[in-house]
Amino acid sequence: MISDQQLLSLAANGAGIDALVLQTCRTEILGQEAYGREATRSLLRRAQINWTSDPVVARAASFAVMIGETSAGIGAMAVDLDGDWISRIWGLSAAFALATVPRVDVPGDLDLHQTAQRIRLSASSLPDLQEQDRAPLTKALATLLDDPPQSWSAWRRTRLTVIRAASTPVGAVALARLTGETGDTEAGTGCWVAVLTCASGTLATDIPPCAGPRLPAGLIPAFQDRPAET
Amino acid sequence: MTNANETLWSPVGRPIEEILAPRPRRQDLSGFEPVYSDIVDYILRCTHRIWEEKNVGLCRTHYGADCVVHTLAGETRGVDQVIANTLATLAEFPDRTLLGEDVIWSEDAPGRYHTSHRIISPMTHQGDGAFGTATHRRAFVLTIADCVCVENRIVEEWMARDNLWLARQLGLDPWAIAQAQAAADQDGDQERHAWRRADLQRVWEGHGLTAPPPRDSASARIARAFDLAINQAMLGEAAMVFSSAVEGRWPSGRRIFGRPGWIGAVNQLLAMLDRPAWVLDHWAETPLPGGDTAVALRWSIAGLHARRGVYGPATGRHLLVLGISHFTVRNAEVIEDTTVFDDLAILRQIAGGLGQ
Repeated sequence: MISDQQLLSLAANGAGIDALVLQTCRTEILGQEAYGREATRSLLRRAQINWTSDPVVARAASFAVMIGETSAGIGAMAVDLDGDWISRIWGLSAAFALATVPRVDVPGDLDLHQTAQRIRLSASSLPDLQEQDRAPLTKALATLLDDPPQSWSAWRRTRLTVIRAASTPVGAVALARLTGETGDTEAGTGCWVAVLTCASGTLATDIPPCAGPRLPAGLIPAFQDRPAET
Repeated sequence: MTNANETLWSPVGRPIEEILAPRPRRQDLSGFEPVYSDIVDYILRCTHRIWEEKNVGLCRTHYGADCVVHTLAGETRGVDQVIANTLATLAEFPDRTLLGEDVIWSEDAPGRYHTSHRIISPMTHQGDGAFGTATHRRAFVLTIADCVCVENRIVEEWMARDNLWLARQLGLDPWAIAQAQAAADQDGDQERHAWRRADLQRVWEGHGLTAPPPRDSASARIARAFDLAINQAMLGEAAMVFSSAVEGRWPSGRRIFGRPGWIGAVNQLLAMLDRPAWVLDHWAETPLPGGDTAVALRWSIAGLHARRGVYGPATGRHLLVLGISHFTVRNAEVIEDTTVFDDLAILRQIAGGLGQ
């Protein structure tokens, strides 16, 4: 079983990767996506999450989050656990840029309904989240949208899609995709956030500042140099 | 075509050291080399031997002499072409690593195995080749290769690779590449593109290459979603098979979050087409170690490029899409979707390539 200390060492500088991380590990840090141990090691060494105090390690059978104060606000590292191995890593810090490689945007209706909930959380998809934690976690997430942390406040029409959530000894944790609008237009964008809610309150990761009126992620024209209009 | 008891064969959650460790035969594989313990091991290990150990000549004992490889950019026939293409790719990307994310398989007839191999390939563009002069950039590309395997040989293969995403990571202009490919396609004997015309007709006539999956299977529910969405424009009903928090990877960096994301990605293809048609060409499902189910669907879309959309202004071209999707299903809901098709080959068709 991977220890808390191993997780913290991994987050600090990529130490122990070969014994902890699957060769197929998918890693998202610094606005980049990487696959494999070598690329993950490289990204983790460049990322340098500078904890200013010991982060909280919240872990369940298949998911763990280290979250705490960093030199750039609240930061976190989230990992998928596959037995004794890590199969996916997310590094979250306001110091990291948003996506840097132009992606094809997927336009979409965020809600599909006039009365849609702003929190998408499918309990049947989240077996590590115990029933008694669902409502408090959902409420905490909704509160974050209503009364966002400073770094989230430039975003409008925000929604959270919870792709991981778990009940842990230190509280309920979630990894969610925050989507919304930002900048001078109604252009949509998104980034990952991690949230820990427990008896003493809620801790949510800060997000990078907007790069400009239009953020790069998802907003690059679908294909550059298209055929000329005829 | 469903495999109930072979959970442990999946590479999901297993380190490469364990995957490549020799082990005794654990599946009746008539005619296969003794080194392979089961059909999943056959695919992972022979891929490693051919590509990473650079023993490309093993293709002669692992591909049928007349093996047909289908991609959206064209078809090749024969093992010599397989070897030539493998060598060419290795000359251009010599450090290509093939990280096998999963192999979803079925035994479609006694001794006739179908494997759907999802691969992430980190690599460096070190040599001149199909992607032009070496850029020395690192990139990764997602590929799904569907193979029919009989007695140690791949006798037919369908491959979908995210070539446009690769081109972008190398800093190349996909539209310029597509235009150059299309110009080359317009030279010479046009009958070499007859496969695309035939496939368009097949899809418009509704002829998939497989029998439908059992009604109550995960494969059937997901296939029905594609049918509802593309053939009937019932996008909302179609999306109900997906978790409200589904996450997906689609080509060219598209990312999907929730049902709105899946609907958006599908409609990006659908909305630009007249006469859209979707057919299912293969399905398989295998259990995953944690109790989830892995589903592989191979499918085709045909349509007329009639409206401006993700690929630019309407061109009136007939478009063919070869797609392969892998899904993770938990409690009857799709929670992950990895879909691969070749956007670069679609742009090539739009630019006038791959025949009329």
